[in-house]
Amino acid sequence: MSEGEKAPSGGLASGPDESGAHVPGEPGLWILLFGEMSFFAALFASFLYYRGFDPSGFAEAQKQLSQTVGLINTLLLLTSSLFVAHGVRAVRAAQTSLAPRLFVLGIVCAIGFIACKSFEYYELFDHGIAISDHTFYSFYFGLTVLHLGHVVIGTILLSLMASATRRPLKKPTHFAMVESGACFWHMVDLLWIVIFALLYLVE
Amino acid sequence: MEKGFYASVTSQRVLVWMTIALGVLFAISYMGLMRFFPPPPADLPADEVLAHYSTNNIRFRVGVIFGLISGGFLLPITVVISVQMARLEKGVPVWAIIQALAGAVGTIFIWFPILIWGVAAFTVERAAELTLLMHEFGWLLFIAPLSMFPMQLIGIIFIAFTKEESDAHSAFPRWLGYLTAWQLVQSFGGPIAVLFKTGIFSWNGLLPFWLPFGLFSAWMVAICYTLLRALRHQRASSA
Amino acid sequence: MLRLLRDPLFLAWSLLVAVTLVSSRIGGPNPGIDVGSAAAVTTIVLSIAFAKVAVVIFTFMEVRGAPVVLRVLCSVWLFGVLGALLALYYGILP
Repeated sequence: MSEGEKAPSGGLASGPDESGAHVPGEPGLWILLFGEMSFFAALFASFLYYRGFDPSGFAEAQKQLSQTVGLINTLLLLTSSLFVAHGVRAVRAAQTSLAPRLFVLGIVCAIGFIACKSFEYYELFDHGIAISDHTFYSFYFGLTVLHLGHVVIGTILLSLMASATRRPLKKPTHFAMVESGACFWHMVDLLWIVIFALLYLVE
Repeated sequence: MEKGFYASVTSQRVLVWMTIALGVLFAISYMGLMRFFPPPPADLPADEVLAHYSTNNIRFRVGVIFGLISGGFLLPITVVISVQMARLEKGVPVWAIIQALAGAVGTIFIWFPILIWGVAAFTVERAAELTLLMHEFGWLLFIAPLSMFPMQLIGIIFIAFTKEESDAHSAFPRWLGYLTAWQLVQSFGGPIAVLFKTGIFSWNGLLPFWLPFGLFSAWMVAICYTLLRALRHQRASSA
Repeated sequence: MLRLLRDPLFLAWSLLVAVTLVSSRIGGPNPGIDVGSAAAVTTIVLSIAFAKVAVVIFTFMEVRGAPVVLRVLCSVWLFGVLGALLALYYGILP
C-alpha cells in the first residue's frame, strides 16, 4: 500500500469540513509545532522570570527599541499569513496560477520582515548597544535571532511551496505538505505576536 | 537492487544495539567521572575551573579515557541509517552518502572536546588561565558546532517525506520526518552559545544545552525504535 | 468588495490588524491610551496577544475544523502559557 492510499476522508484535496475530522497538515506535523511552541513558551517564561528581578532596568532598556519597526514587522507577518492562508485555498481549488502568486506575496512580506529586522539590529549596534549590556538585550537578541532563523526557514518552505504548486498536485500527501508548510508559517507569525508583546509592549 | 546487496539484517540489528554502548560510556565518562553534568556555568572564574580539574584529577582523567572510547560508537547507527536510506533511494544514494559523511565527521565533536579537557587535566600545575582556555575551547567545541548535525538530518527528512513505502513498517515514517525537522531547527541554537556567558543562551543554558541534549536523546530512541522495527519487517518479508 | 467582507480569512486579518494597532497604543514607553498601572497594561497587552494567537491558530491554521483532541491541546497551550506568563509577571510563581 502506498502513502497515497491513506487519504484523509473527503477526496484528494481535503480541507476542513463539517465533520471536524481534518487535521491541519497531518498528525506528525504537530510534533514539530507543539515542540517549537513549547520551547518558545519556555523562553517567554524565562524572560518574565528574569524581568522579575529588575523590572525598572528592563523598562529602561526597552526604551531603546523602536516600537514602530516592531509594529511594522507585526503587520507584515499578519499580512503574509493572510496571503499564505489564501494560497492554501487556491491550491485546493487547483488554481495553479493564483496559488504560487499568493505564496510569492507571502515571501515578499517575509523579506520585508527580514529587512526591517536587519535595520533594527543595525540601528541598535549603531547606538553602541551590545548583547552583554543588560539581560533585556540578551533576551532581545536571543529571541529575535532565533525567530529570524525560523523566518528564514519558513521563507525557504514558502519558496518550495510556490514552485511545487505551479502544477496541479497529484497525491494527498502533497496537499498535506503544502498545509504543513503553511501551518509552520502561521506558527512563525504567532510566535512573533507574543515576542512583540513581551519585548516591545509589556510594562 | 538484487537480493543480498545490503548488509544482512542481523548485522544491522547488532550495529543498532551498539548505540547503547555510546550512551553508557558517555554517561560513565561525562556524568560519573568528569562531573560535567549539569555543565559548569560558562562564566566560572579561572581558579574554580582549575579546581574542577585538580581535585580528583585521576578520576577526571579516567573519565577522559571512557569518553574517548565512546566517540566511535556513533558510527554503527550512522551506517545503518544510511543503508536503510539507500534502500529507498533511486540510483546513486546521495542522501545516504551525505548522512554517513556528516555522521562520521560528527563523531569528532564527541571525542575531540573530551581530549581537550584531557589535556587540561593532564598538567594541572599550569597557570589557571591556561586551564580556563582549554576548558572553554573544549566546551565551545562540544556545544557550538551543532550546526554540523543538520547535514545528517536533511536527508532523513527528505526520505521520510518522499519515500514510496508504507509508514507502518518503515525506518523513516512521516512522524519521524517531523521530529527530525524539529531537531534540525533546534540544532541551530548551538552556535548561539558563543555569544553568551550567562543565562539560558549560554552553554549550560536551556537553549544550547538542555534542549538539544533532551531532543537528541529522544530522537536517538525514536530512530533506534523505527530502525529495529523496519529490520524486523525486512527479515520477516525476506524469509 | 462585498465578497471580501464575507471572507472569514480577510475578516480575521482585519481584526488582527485592528487589535495590533490598539495594543501598540496601550503598551510600550510612550502609550497613547492610558489604562492606568503598568500591571494593567501588561495584563491587557498579553491578553490581546494571546487572543490574536488564538485567531491565528483557529482560523489561519484551520484548527477550528480539526479533531477535538487538537482543539483541546491548542486551547491548553493558549491558556496555560498566558496563565503562566501572567503568574510570573505578578510574582505568583517563584
